[in-house]
Amino acid sequence: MLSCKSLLSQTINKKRKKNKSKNKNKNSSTRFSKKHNLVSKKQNYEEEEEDCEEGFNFKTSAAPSHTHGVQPLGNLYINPGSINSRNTGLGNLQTLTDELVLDILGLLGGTHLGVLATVSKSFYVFTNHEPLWRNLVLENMNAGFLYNGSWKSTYVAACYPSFDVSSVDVSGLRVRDFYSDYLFQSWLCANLEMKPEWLQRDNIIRRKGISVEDFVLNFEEPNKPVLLEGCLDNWVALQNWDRDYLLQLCGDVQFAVGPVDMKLQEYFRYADQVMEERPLYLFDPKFAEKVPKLGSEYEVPVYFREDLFGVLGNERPDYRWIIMGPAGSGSSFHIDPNSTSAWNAVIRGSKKWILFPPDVVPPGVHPSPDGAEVACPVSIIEWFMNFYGATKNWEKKPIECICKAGEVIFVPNGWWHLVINLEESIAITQNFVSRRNLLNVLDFLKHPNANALVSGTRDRVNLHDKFKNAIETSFPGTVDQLVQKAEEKKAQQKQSFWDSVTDSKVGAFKFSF
Amino acid sequence: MSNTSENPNPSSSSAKITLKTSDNELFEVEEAVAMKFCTVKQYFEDEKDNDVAARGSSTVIPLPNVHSAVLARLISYCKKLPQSNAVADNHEEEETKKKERKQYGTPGDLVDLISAANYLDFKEGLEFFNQALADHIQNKSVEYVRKFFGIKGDFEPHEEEKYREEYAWAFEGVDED
Repeated sequence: MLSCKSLLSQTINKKRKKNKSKNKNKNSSTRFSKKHNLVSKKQNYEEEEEDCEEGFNFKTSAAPSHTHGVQPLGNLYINPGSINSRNTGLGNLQTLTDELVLDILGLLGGTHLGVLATVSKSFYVFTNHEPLWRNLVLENMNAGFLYNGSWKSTYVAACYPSFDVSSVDVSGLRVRDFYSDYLFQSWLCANLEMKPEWLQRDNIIRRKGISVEDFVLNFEEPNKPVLLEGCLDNWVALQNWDRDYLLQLCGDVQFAVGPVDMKLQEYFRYADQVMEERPLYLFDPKFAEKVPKLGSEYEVPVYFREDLFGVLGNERPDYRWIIMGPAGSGSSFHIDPNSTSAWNAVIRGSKKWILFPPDVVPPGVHPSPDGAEVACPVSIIEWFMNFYGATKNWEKKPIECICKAGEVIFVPNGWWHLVINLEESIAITQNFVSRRNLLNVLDFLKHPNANALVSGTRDRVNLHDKFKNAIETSFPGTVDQLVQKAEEKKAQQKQSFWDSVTDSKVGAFKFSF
Repeated sequence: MSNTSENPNPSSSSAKITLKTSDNELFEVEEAVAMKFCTVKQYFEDEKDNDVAARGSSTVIPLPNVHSAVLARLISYCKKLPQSNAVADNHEEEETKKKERKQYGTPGDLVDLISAANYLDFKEGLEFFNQALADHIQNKSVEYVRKFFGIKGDFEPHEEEKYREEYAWAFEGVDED
């Protein structure tokens, strides 16, 4: 939860007024020219720089979502004599927390929510909480939907086609004296722009034109991230893949978007209007099967050509994805599946990355002891608000960067990472097993919980045996060699440690290699 | 932190735990029941680590946010919990469950039970009582809901008319009061 909420609230309220007229102007210029998004965003940063030190900036890429006048609870205490209309309008329910009220409303269908909205102003605000309608849409319309300005009107338009949805949301009730931290923060997280100070740190190693040997020796072997420039220069995708091209090529094709499938054109329609805390992300592992041309317009960069899961043929776990999403979409902290390493190539847009090494659990993240579940209860934007600052003084600082179009990031196995799109982005990512992480992957698959952890394949139980056998057949002796090499290395490390200890005891100076 | 393996009084199935409510009532409950409340479980385990449990059943766990009347109902609910926690998979079962949920009468009672279950981190109970409350307002008219929760409508008449229009699509399946 936001720690300095009540203090912030005043600044934010002030700023909201201040930004309002500004936002309006910007909406009109950005909404009609998506392609110029990057440029206008950049201008925003410059224009709003003076505002930055005092608080937050709000997204300007689409119409801001409705607040209904909800204020953080702290404001109640600085407005003497005011009552909280949240409570009066909830009756007996007022002692429940906002989360519990929303949990109960989440058990109801759309029509019930609609009726409840007219019970009182408080019920109106609660039943208009967009995530309730988002869940209803995603649960009931898994064959896709036409996003219609808000999740509520999307739901109504789809379920009651005879009803004129243009009258939904027009009234936009504004309640006086409604104080709620949860609803306010939820609104805030949906509308916040990334703060420039969250983007400043850039401490990743960048390389251009290095040899494969150099990459293996200095990055893959020691399992360290690196940002590679200039290795996509021959990708057709880099020239071709923009909205117009993709719409023409596969606008009608359905892609995996979170829990649903959506036509690409419907997804873009959604992405243009969306203003929410966790925008839906297009993340499709079968894109090259669905649209072979997409698969043929990129190639695996030379550093990542070894692909040992390839020995499994059709039975390999999912390994490549096309990724598209609007500004603000992304993935909260996680470790990639099956102990694989990955590369991620940005074709359009830009992504902010934050990576923590395997032995450092990011603040706010609570993995279960067996690693089966990663609970990161907070959204990306909430993580930045509440946890990013904590890493400033850490001895083991995260690796950070902004990866721009034409650049590739190498994500070593076991590293925690968070990614957020700073503008509408298109990327390709692949997870892979090479000889450098083969033993890790085999170890992972042998894990007693492997069938719960291994992802992206239908036949989870036998994956370890199948994979090991297939490797033996295709590359006889490889596993044994790697095991032997690892043991030698271990022994060597022990020895040199022993050497150094005895050296210090003797007090003589000696190089031990 | 002391070494728990030296604890001379390992919990057995018949062990009792004493809970103290906000109005200072003491409840002696079976450990199996008390452990359904994760807040109690956490407290109990922390105490164990601190070697307090070694002093035997004298441990009293305070629950300053739960009234005795509510705790009594929660405990009786726990004792009635079916052994298998399987989701109702046929219509008949769902109906029985619905009837069961109906027994937890007034909205005030339900709200107290929900708050307590939430405070005690008693997941099954929370789901059950949330659903019981949702059952009560499903398909009901605006007037019914207002009466049920004791709410005075705070819309101006012309506002109310406007919102009823905005939500006209929702009013088709409402039950008679």
